[in-house]
Amino acid sequence: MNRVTSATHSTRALDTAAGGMIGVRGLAHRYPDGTQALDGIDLAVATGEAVVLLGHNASGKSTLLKALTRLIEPTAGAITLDGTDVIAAGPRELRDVRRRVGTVFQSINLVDQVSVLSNVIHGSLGRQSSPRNWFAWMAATDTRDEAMECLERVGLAPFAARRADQLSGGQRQRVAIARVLMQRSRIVLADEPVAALDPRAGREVMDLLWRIVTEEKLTLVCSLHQLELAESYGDRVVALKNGRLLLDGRIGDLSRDDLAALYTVDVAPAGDTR
Amino acid sequence: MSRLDTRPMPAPSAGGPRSPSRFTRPGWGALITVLVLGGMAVHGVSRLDLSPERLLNAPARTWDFLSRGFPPATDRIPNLAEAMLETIEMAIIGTALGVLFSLPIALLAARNTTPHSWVHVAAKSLLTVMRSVPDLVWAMVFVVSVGLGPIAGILTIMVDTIGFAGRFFAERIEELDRGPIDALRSTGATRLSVMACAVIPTAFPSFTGTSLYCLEKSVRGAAVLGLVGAGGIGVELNVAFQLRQFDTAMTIIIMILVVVLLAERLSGVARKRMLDGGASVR
Ligand SMILES: Nc1ncnc2c1ncn2[C@@H]1O[C@H](COP(=O)(O)OP(=O)(O)OP(=O)(O)O)[C@@H](O)[C@H]1O
Ligand SMILES: [Mg+2]
Repeated sequence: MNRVTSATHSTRALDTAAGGMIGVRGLAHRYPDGTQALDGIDLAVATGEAVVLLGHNASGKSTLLKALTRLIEPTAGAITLDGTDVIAAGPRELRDVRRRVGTVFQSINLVDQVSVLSNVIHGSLGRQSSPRNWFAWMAATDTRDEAMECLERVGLAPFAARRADQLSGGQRQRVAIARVLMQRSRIVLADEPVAALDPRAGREVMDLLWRIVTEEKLTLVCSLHQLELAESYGDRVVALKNGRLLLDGRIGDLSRDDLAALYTVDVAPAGDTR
Repeated sequence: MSRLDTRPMPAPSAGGPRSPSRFTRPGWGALITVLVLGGMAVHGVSRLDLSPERLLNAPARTWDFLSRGFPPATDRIPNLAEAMLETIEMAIIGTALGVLFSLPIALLAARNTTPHSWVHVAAKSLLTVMRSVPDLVWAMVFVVSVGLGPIAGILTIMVDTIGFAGRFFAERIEELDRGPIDALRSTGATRLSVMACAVIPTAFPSFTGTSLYCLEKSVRGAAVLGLVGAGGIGVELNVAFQLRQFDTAMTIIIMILVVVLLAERLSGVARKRMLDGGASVR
């Protein structure tokens, strides 16, 4: 396993940033209350690569995944996604980058008050920003058909007309995946997509996500807590600890010591620099 | 440890966190505020001209009003019913317009959806002015600008509703869960789409509740707008009191009571229907 030192990781980022799908250098985020959630993250992900992001609670995984598309505004660093400089992007360019990056959230973010179909159709708003795509009943027939196909692929076509809050957690996360499909993105960022699910539903959701990622040849960054899942779905592991990059390497090379280091949290959270 | 530790406990100051003291002396600001408010109350009472004769006459005069008020007059009920209908319609139209306009103003006023901090300040100030000027004052202003009658009443109710509903909508929008909003942002949707797809649907139950409450409030408010000539049943009430036809006045008061209670009941039922009662804690 490649234990990250400042020398190795910066060169690695420089090497792969050119042809890669995701290039991050010196990324940092400090929340307004002073919490340093990310500190000097360097990362390069090649096209079609599947990266598993590990890290203890509060290590900064969610912050990193949201900062990549500036859902959280990074306080320092450079980001390139699919050839676009995300930090320099203006509002229009930023929306275009976000369109190309599908996100599945830890907290399964659906709009509960509208139908499942409407939620899936929302995935197309980055491509066709027409008010007709706001609600399923207004959408064009071919948009509705495409959304139904996406629902079919996650096995939820019969639930299209239901209100989103009337589904189980696993079903809701599959709707979120259908929304990513609708987005026709090139990258998928998944933040603990199975954290709220039981082991079996978790497996199903991961299988589904994995099948879609391989079928569509997407680039994936997926944070996980379950190591056995990480082993079945990732090529490469990147681990965070207290907002810093701790490990970066092949999944099979992960040693016991590495894991121990990963999950022993320092007594004083090092992220807190106040 | 095998042996009892018989050393004395360390004094709290020696180490370990100290709990905050239980009571804190009120600050000078609070003291001065209480003194000023108390002084104003005393001063106000001293200027009330509370002559004994006035106090002694009050029960007799109230009795005069009540005895002449009962039985309430029935001869003018058709006319009064028409005025009452006008009042209710003023309330419905005014509230509908108010709710409609308050939504975009709330989106401009809420910190998380405003396009610019200046717009936020401007929209918030507009709402404050609309809310802080009492509705009878608005009614007098509108009677001057559009003349006597229900149009002035509708405008008054509209402004009153915008001021109230706009503030509540904006506060609701500011405290929305960021999850659905982030989900929409992450698809590359425009700000307008994020508002239409995530902000408005998630805030919708609260919007309906507030709107129904506004309707209730408007029915009550509309009943007195006629006192300054802005249409509705209040005009009749004003005339009845001025001609000292207390039996007609009593009829009107009872009608207002019935309509306001009915409005409250109906909006309560509608709220329950639409929000299916919310989460039970039983
Ligand atoms: N909105 C916020 N304001 C302030 N601090 C925050 C906020 N969100 C997260 N943090 C802090 O930032 C740090 C990283 O949080 P983050 O959510 O990125 O961790 P995580 O690795 O996703 O954790 P988990 O495994 O529990 O999901 C934590 O210390 C957290 O307390
Ligand atoms: Mg997280």
